[in-house]
Amino acid sequence: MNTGPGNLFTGFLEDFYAEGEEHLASARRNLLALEPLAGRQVTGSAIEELLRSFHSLKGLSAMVGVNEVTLMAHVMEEYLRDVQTIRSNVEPAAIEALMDGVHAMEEVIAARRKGLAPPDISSVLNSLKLTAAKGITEIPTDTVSTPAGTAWHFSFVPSAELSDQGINVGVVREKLKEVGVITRASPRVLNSGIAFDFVVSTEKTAAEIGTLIPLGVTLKPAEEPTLASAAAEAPATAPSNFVRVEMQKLDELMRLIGEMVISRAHFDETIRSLENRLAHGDFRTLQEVHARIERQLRNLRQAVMQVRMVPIAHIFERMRFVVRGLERDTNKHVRLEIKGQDTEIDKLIVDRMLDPLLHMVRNAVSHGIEKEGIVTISARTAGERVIVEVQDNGRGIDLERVTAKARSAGVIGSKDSVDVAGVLEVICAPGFSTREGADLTSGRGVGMAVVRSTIQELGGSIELETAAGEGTKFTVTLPLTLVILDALLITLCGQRFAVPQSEVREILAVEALAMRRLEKTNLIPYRGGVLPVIHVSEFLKFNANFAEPQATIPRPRIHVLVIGSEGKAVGLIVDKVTGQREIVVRPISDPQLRIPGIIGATELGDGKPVLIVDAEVVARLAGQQKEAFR
Amino acid sequence: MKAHLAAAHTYILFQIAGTTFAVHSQSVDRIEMIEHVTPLPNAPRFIDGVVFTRGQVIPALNLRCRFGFERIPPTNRTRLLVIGKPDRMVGLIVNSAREFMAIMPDMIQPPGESLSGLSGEYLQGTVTVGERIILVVKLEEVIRLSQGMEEIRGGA
Amino acid sequence: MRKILIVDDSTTMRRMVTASLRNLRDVIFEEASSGLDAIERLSLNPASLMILDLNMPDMHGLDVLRFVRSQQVNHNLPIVVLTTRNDAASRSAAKEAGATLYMTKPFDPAELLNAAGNLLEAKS
Repeated sequence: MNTGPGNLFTGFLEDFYAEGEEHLASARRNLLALEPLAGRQVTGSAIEELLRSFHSLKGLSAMVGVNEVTLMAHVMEEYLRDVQTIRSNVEPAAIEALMDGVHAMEEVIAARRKGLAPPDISSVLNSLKLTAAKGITEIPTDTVSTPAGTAWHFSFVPSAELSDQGINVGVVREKLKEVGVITRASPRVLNSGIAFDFVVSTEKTAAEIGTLIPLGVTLKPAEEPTLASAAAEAPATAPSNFVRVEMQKLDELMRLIGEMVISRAHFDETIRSLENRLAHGDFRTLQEVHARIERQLRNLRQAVMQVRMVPIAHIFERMRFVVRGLERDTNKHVRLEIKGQDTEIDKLIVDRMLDPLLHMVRNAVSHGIEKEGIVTISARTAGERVIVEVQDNGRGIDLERVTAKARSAGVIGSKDSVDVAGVLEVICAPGFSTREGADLTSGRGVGMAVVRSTIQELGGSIELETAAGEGTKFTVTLPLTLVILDALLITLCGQRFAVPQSEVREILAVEALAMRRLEKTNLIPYRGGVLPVIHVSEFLKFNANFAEPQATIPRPRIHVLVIGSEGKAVGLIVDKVTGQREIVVRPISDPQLRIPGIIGATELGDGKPVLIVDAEVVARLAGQQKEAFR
Repeated sequence: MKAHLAAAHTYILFQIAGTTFAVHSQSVDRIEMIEHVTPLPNAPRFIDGVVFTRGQVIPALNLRCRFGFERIPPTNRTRLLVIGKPDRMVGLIVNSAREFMAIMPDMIQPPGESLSGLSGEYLQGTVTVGERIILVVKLEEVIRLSQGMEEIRGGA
Repeated sequence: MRKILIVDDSTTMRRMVTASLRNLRDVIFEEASSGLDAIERLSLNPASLMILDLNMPDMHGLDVLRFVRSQQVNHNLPIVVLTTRNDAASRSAAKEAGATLYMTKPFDPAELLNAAGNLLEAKS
């Protein structure tokens, strides 16, 4: 099937993932619309759109070599084509199989994106083939009703002049949709050139219509009432007012903003240090300019955040499939209620919340609900935060079972027991749940510990309420604001710190013996010359009487972060460099507390704050300190 | 926790060095166990460090230290009072905070000379309940950091 | 300068076709995402070659093909139909409607490049 496009098209994988997601989202919507129990109006175009989605997926996946999707899309398309030919509707069992297919495609794409092996699709593929082979019983489709109103004819003759003014057939069609329902659209040859004819049904008056149609479009009422011969005009594939942006570009924007946040902090520091050296009026002016920049930067950050916001419906809707699958696997009857799906949240958070949400919903169905019940997922904004809740009306968490499991897993002592206040802690303890094997509906056996650390890494928190016989509710609070930085993780005075990677030009490991002292400065050999180095620990004064972090122990090798540009470079001596990570910057919640050299803190997944050190400021201030004591 | 008491005049009581202090409950967002305090370098003496709670990084102020006492190691009765104002959030480390008491404004006597060692600027007044003397704290002053900041600026 | 009009409702597919034909000399590319769009563009700016997907929402590719052929000015326009359907019936229907060449997806970029090159040369 894959005729060997070779390397040329693997560069299009990202495009495929993005467009594939759109097609899968559309397919999901249309499949849900076809369900007899969905209680929604079946549009005649749902099957049409499904066909197009699978057809596109088949073609694209074959080009980029994601064969699992191609195989499934092929069977699904063939089946739906038969359904369409017989003018039937899709029976519930077939809808199930198709939904499984869509879900499997999502899993394949997700796996490929992460560079993992795709899950086994043979069972899904078989059930699809069986569905197709079973033949189709004719089920009458809902008749497409005649659009109300009068039918009007519109003609549009395209020309270079109109095109220059931005008026082309796509725009005309959009405008006509505002007028009413387009029942026919076709081209016509003229003596020179072409024209497009549209028939639109609407209840609007001629005057109203006149104001809506653009230049270049003429209208006249139809001579006789025109019945809607075809189904209502299928929607355009992409609204014209949107731009598709790669997530990478938005991440880059956020990264740049993160760097500006640090620069602004530098700027603030510098201004303060000038207080005694400037005339008071000038100092005030500088402060005002800084305040303005701070405001503008915050607005910029908000604006970029807005661009990255997507409705949480993205992941909420996927839960429908999950619940359906779980219903079958566990033989229970579960109704899923979704609220607040229009709540918007940063796309990065949405993407990372999929697995935790999956796990919580799965918990609710597998453990919470006995035979029958309702799972509710909801989202709402509260100030600067978004609150997501997953609730079931099942039996509540069985504390005795949890206690037993915790004891046997060694999470608690054999004499201890678990109460309502402590149950979240226990189920999130590492070691409490074991890794289950991967399968299409289990969410890959992600334990609650990873759920919590994922949420915390995003700057959020999770809480749990449960009552016997009433149910269980997980409440997840997530921030709307994120600033992301690439950081180096280092150890200083025995404590972990993070340093923005953009500030560090190089990392050196040098023999301690190579360090020389010249007057009050320490030097090490560097690129044919010397580099002044500073022990950062000298600059960091921790409170006396506090659990003292170890003082710097002399080591055979010293680790140096090179900060600053040519000629003005300085080396900061740290205990060691332990790694590199993308971190979320959390400002310290008290603006009155300003520590020169500390930008904020982050959290690496264990709940312990890690301070973010501004290396450039430290280098400068430590240098000044030396000056002062000369 | 606070729901069943009239919030307007409810105070949270905590102990330091055998003395009972009271803080107006409305200023206190919540009371938490202390998980992990990351030491904060170059910070005012009385700030132990920062803690991570509900997705935010807040400074933890050691009240013993603030009031001039020696630090003691934390016990499992040590608590963090999270003070949330519109523009800042601060945590106060206290030993045990479990009592609630309704204190009417007219019960509070202005702080007298007899209070030894404790800076009058941190106290709103005293309340006598039976045999107990309770010191009512002026939260704004306690959590004001600008003086503390002066201290370290002088040094650097 | 010769213009190649690429008609497909999938953005990714259009990009892949463009990428395959990038090495052709003296060509510029124009894209259309729907049948009506393609017809309009052709009427405003003649093309030297059209690559046409059949499966489109507003007007089926075969209807687009027939209409375009019905215009005198497009009688000799080389049109490559690019589609996933591989059966004999679809092939002959496309040929009858006026396709110059019929290629299936997934396509071999070398083959497409070759075919496009030949068609452009033949026309000039």
